[in-house]
Amino acid sequence: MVKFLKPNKAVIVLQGRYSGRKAVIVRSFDDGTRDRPYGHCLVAGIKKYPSKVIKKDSAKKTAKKSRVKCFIKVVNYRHLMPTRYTLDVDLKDVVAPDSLQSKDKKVTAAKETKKRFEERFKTGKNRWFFTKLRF
Amino acid sequence: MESGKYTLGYKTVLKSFRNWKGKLIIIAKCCPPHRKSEIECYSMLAKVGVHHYNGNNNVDLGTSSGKYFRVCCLIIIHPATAFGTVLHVISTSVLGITPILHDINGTRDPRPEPLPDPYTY
Repeated sequence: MVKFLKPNKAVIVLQGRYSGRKAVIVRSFDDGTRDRPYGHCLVAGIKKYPSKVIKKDSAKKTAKKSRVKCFIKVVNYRHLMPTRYTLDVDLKDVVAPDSLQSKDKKVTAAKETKKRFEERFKTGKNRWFFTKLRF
Repeated sequence: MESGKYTLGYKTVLKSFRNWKGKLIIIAKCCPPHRKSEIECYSMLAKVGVHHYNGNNNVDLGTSSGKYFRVCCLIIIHPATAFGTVLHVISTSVLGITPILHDINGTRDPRPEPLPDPYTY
Protein backbone atom coordinates (compact mmCIF):
# COMPACT_ATOMS: atom_id res chain seq x y z
CA MET A 1 0.00 0.00 0.00
CA VAL A 2 1.33 3.42 -0.88
CA LYS A 3 1.37 5.95 1.92
CA PHE A 4 -0.72 8.93 1.00
CA LEU A 5 -0.97 10.94 4.21
CA LYS A 6 2.41 12.55 3.74
CA PRO A 7 3.65 16.11 4.07
CA ASN A 8 2.44 18.44 1.29
CA LYS A 9 -0.72 16.42 0.72
CA ALA A 10 -3.87 18.52 0.41
CA VAL A 11 -6.64 17.24 2.62
CA ILE A 12 -10.10 18.34 3.64
CA VAL A 13 -10.89 18.63 7.32
CA LEU A 14 -14.08 16.79 8.09
CA GLN A 15 -14.85 17.55 11.71
CA GLY A 16 -14.68 20.43 14.08
CA ARG A 17 -14.77 24.14 13.58
CA TYR A 18 -12.80 23.88 10.34
CA SER A 19 -14.87 21.16 8.75
CA GLY A 20 -15.05 21.57 5.01
CA ARG A 21 -11.83 23.56 4.88
CA LYS A 22 -8.88 22.59 2.78
CA ALA A 23 -5.57 22.08 4.48
CA VAL A 24 -2.10 20.84 3.72
CA ILE A 25 -0.28 18.28 5.84
CA VAL A 26 2.89 19.74 7.31
CA ARG A 27 3.95 16.87 9.50
CA SER A 28 2.40 13.46 9.98
CA PHE A 29 2.66 11.20 13.00
CA ASP A 30 1.53 7.79 11.80
CA ASP A 31 2.03 5.94 15.04
CA GLY A 32 0.94 8.73 17.32
CA THR A 33 2.75 10.13 20.31
CA ARG A 34 2.32 9.61 24.01
CA ASP A 35 -0.22 12.40 24.30
CA ARG A 36 -2.10 11.34 21.19
CA PRO A 37 -1.95 7.58 20.79
CA TYR A 38 -3.52 7.63 17.35
CA GLY A 39 -2.42 8.56 13.85
CA HIS A 40 -2.58 12.32 13.51
CA CYS A 41 -0.95 15.13 11.62
CA LEU A 42 -0.18 18.77 11.88
CA VAL A 43 -2.04 20.64 9.17
CA ALA A 44 -2.05 24.22 8.01
CA GLY A 45 -5.29 25.19 6.40
CA ILE A 46 -7.37 28.02 5.14
CA LYS A 47 -9.75 29.60 7.59
CA LYS A 48 -11.03 32.23 5.21
CA TYR A 49 -10.68 31.73 1.49
CA PRO A 50 -9.72 34.60 -0.78
CA SER A 51 -12.73 36.17 -2.50
CA LYS A 52 -13.37 36.27 -6.20
CA VAL A 53 -11.49 39.11 -7.88
CA ILE A 54 -13.10 40.75 -10.92
CA LYS A 55 -11.54 42.91 -13.58
CA LYS A 56 -13.35 46.00 -12.37
CA ASP A 57 -11.63 45.92 -8.98
CA SER A 58 -9.07 48.53 -8.12
CA ALA A 59 -5.63 47.50 -6.91
CA LYS A 60 -6.59 48.23 -3.34
CA LYS A 61 -9.71 46.09 -3.62
CA THR A 62 -7.79 43.23 -5.28
CA ALA A 63 -5.29 43.27 -2.45
CA LYS A 64 -8.08 43.12 0.09
CA LYS A 65 -9.90 40.32 -1.71
CA SER A 66 -6.76 38.21 -2.10
CA ARG A 67 -6.20 37.84 1.60
CA VAL A 68 -6.09 34.35 3.05
CA LYS A 69 -6.63 33.59 6.70
CA CYS A 70 -4.91 30.46 7.99
CA PHE A 71 -5.22 28.01 10.78
CA ILE A 72 -2.79 25.48 12.19
CA LYS A 73 -4.16 22.42 13.85
CA VAL A 74 -3.32 18.90 14.91
CA VAL A 75 -5.98 16.64 13.42
CA ASN A 76 -6.70 12.94 13.77
CA TYR A 77 -6.46 11.01 10.50
CA ARG A 78 -10.07 10.00 11.00
CA HIS A 79 -11.15 13.58 10.61
CA LEU A 80 -9.43 14.15 7.30
CA MET A 81 -10.35 13.29 3.76
CA PRO A 82 -7.25 12.94 1.58
CA THR A 83 -7.37 14.25 -1.97
CA ARG A 84 -5.24 13.69 -5.01
CA TYR A 85 -3.83 17.21 -4.80
CA THR A 86 -0.59 18.37 -3.23
CA LEU A 87 0.61 21.80 -2.25
CA ASP A 88 4.37 22.33 -2.41
CA VAL A 89 4.65 25.15 0.06
CA ASP A 90 7.53 24.74 2.45
CA LEU A 91 6.05 25.14 5.91
CA LYS A 92 8.36 22.83 7.86
CA ASP A 93 10.48 25.60 9.34
CA VAL A 94 7.48 27.70 10.19
CA VAL A 95 5.05 25.20 11.62
CA ALA A 96 6.34 22.81 14.25
CA PRO A 97 4.52 20.78 16.86
CA ASP A 98 5.60 23.22 19.55
CA SER A 99 4.04 26.14 17.64
CA LEU A 100 0.78 25.16 19.22
CA GLN A 101 2.05 25.34 22.79
CA SER A 102 1.51 29.02 23.35
CA LYS A 103 -0.70 31.65 21.85
CA ASP A 104 2.05 33.95 20.53
CA LYS A 105 3.94 31.09 18.86
CA LYS A 106 0.71 30.04 17.22
CA VAL A 107 0.03 33.57 16.03
CA THR A 108 3.50 34.00 14.52
CA ALA A 109 3.30 30.63 12.81
CA ALA A 110 -0.15 31.44 11.42
CA LYS A 111 1.06 34.84 10.17
CA GLU A 112 3.99 33.26 8.38
CA THR A 113 1.86 30.57 6.75
CA LYS A 114 -0.62 33.28 5.73
CA LYS A 115 2.19 35.09 3.96
CA ARG A 116 3.28 31.94 2.13
CA PHE A 117 -0.26 30.98 1.17
CA GLU A 118 -0.97 34.45 -0.15
CA GLU A 119 2.23 34.39 -2.24
CA ARG A 120 1.21 31.08 -3.68
CA PHE A 121 -2.33 32.26 -4.36
CA LYS A 122 -1.07 35.31 -6.21
CA THR A 123 1.01 33.21 -8.60
CA GLY A 124 -2.21 31.54 -9.74
CA LYS A 125 -0.98 28.01 -9.09
CA ASN A 126 -2.84 25.41 -7.00
CA ARG A 127 -6.10 27.07 -7.81
CA TRP A 128 -8.08 24.15 -6.45
CA PHE A 129 -6.62 24.62 -3.01
CA PHE A 130 -7.69 28.25 -2.76
CA THR A 131 -11.27 27.74 -3.92
CA LYS A 132 -13.91 27.14 -1.34
CA LEU A 133 -15.38 23.65 -1.27
CA ARG A 134 -19.08 23.99 -1.97
CA PHE A 135 -21.32 21.71 0.07
CA MET B 1 -5.27 -5.60 13.09
CA GLU B 2 -1.59 -6.07 12.35
CA SER B 3 -1.43 -9.81 12.63
CA GLY B 4 -4.87 -10.53 11.24
CA LYS B 5 -5.36 -11.82 7.73
CA TYR B 6 -8.44 -9.87 6.77
CA THR B 7 -10.92 -7.56 8.40
CA LEU B 8 -14.55 -7.01 7.68
CA GLY B 9 -16.45 -3.79 7.77
CA TYR B 10 -16.24 -0.20 6.61
CA LYS B 11 -14.64 1.19 9.76
CA THR B 12 -11.84 -1.37 9.78
CA VAL B 13 -11.27 -0.88 6.06
CA LEU B 14 -10.65 2.83 6.57
CA LYS B 15 -8.54 2.09 9.63
CA SER B 16 -6.35 -0.23 7.55
CA PHE B 17 -5.89 2.47 4.97
CA ARG B 18 -4.68 4.84 7.65
CA ASN B 19 -2.26 2.18 8.94
CA TRP B 20 -1.00 1.45 5.42
CA LYS B 21 -1.99 -2.18 5.60
CA GLY B 22 -3.95 -4.17 3.10
CA LYS B 23 -3.68 -5.66 -0.32
CA LEU B 24 -7.18 -5.96 -1.71
CA ILE B 25 -10.59 -4.51 -0.97
CA ILE B 26 -13.77 -6.39 -1.74
CA ILE B 27 -16.99 -4.37 -1.87
CA ALA B 28 -20.50 -5.78 -1.99
CA LYS B 29 -22.82 -4.78 -4.80
CA CYS B 30 -25.34 -3.12 -2.51
CA CYS B 31 -22.81 -0.90 -0.79
CA PRO B 32 -24.20 2.67 -0.65
CA PRO B 33 -22.69 4.70 -3.50
CA HIS B 34 -21.19 7.37 -1.28
CA ARG B 35 -19.37 4.81 0.81
CA LYS B 36 -18.29 2.87 -2.28
CA SER B 37 -16.81 5.95 -3.89
CA GLU B 38 -15.06 6.92 -0.67
CA ILE B 39 -13.39 3.51 -0.46
CA GLU B 40 -12.49 3.66 -4.13
CA CYS B 41 -10.99 7.12 -3.61
CA TYR B 42 -8.81 5.91 -0.74
CA SER B 43 -7.75 2.83 -2.68
CA MET B 44 -6.87 4.92 -5.72
CA LEU B 45 -4.57 7.04 -3.56
CA ALA B 46 -3.09 3.99 -1.85
CA LYS B 47 -2.85 1.98 -5.08
CA VAL B 48 -4.78 -0.95 -3.67
CA GLY B 49 -6.99 -3.11 -5.82
CA VAL B 50 -10.75 -3.02 -5.42
CA HIS B 51 -12.92 -5.94 -6.40
CA HIS B 52 -16.67 -5.60 -6.66
CA TYR B 53 -18.14 -8.83 -5.43
CA ASN B 54 -20.67 -10.26 -7.80
CA GLY B 55 -23.10 -11.66 -5.25
CA ASN B 56 -26.53 -10.10 -4.81
CA ASN B 57 -25.91 -8.09 -1.66
CA ASN B 58 -23.95 -7.81 1.56
CA VAL B 59 -25.67 -10.89 2.97
CA ASP B 60 -23.98 -12.94 0.26
CA LEU B 61 -20.59 -11.43 0.93
CA GLY B 62 -20.99 -12.18 4.62
CA THR B 63 -21.97 -15.74 3.89
CA SER B 64 -19.08 -16.35 1.58
CA SER B 65 -16.70 -14.99 4.24
CA GLY B 66 -18.04 -17.65 6.53
CA LYS B 67 -19.89 -15.25 8.80
CA TYR B 68 -23.47 -15.11 9.92
CA PHE B 69 -23.75 -11.36 9.46
CA ARG B 70 -23.81 -8.96 6.53
CA VAL B 71 -20.52 -7.65 5.22
CA CYS B 72 -20.46 -4.63 2.96
CA CYS B 73 -16.75 -4.32 2.46
CA LEU B 74 -13.69 -6.20 3.56
CA ILE B 75 -9.97 -5.81 3.24
CA ILE B 76 -7.39 -8.56 2.83
CA ILE B 77 -4.29 -7.68 4.82
CA HIS B 78 -2.05 -10.70 4.44
CA PRO B 79 -2.79 -12.56 1.26
CA ALA B 80 -0.57 -15.53 2.13
CA THR B 81 -3.06 -17.30 4.33
CA ALA B 82 -6.14 -15.57 3.02
CA PHE B 83 -5.22 -16.33 -0.56
CA GLY B 84 -7.61 -19.21 -0.46
CA THR B 85 -10.39 -16.85 0.61
CA VAL B 86 -9.63 -14.39 -2.15
CA LEU B 87 -9.55 -17.04 -4.84
CA HIS B 88 -12.67 -18.62 -3.50
CA VAL B 89 -14.55 -15.37 -3.16
CA ILE B 90 -13.56 -14.19 -6.61
CA SER B 91 -14.27 -17.55 -8.23
CA THR B 92 -17.63 -17.80 -6.53
CA SER B 93 -18.50 -14.32 -7.62
CA VAL B 94 -17.62 -15.29 -11.15
CA LEU B 95 -19.67 -18.46 -11.02
CA GLY B 96 -22.43 -16.85 -9.01
CA ILE B 97 -22.36 -19.49 -6.28
CA THR B 98 -21.75 -18.62 -2.63
CA PRO B 99 -20.81 -21.64 -0.55
CA ILE B 100 -19.81 -21.12 3.05
CA LEU B 101 -16.07 -20.97 3.59
CA HIS B 102 -14.05 -22.15 6.50
CA ASP B 103 -13.47 -19.50 9.09
CA ILE B 104 -9.93 -18.18 8.92
CA ASN B 105 -9.06 -16.88 12.34
CA GLY B 106 -6.50 -14.15 12.77
CA THR B 107 -4.18 -14.45 15.77
CA ARG B 108 -4.51 -11.99 18.60
CA ASP B 109 -2.48 -8.79 18.30
CA PRO B 110 0.77 -8.87 20.32
CA ARG B 111 1.11 -6.40 23.17
CA PRO B 112 1.79 -3.01 21.58
CA GLU B 113 5.20 -1.38 21.92
CA PRO B 114 5.43 1.69 24.15
CA LEU B 115 4.79 4.83 22.16
CA PRO B 116 7.75 7.09 21.30
CA ASP B 117 8.37 10.35 23.17
CA PRO B 118 6.64 13.24 21.47
CA TYR B 119 8.75 15.66 19.47
CA THR B 120 11.96 13.71 19.49
CA TYR B 121 12.64 13.27 15.78
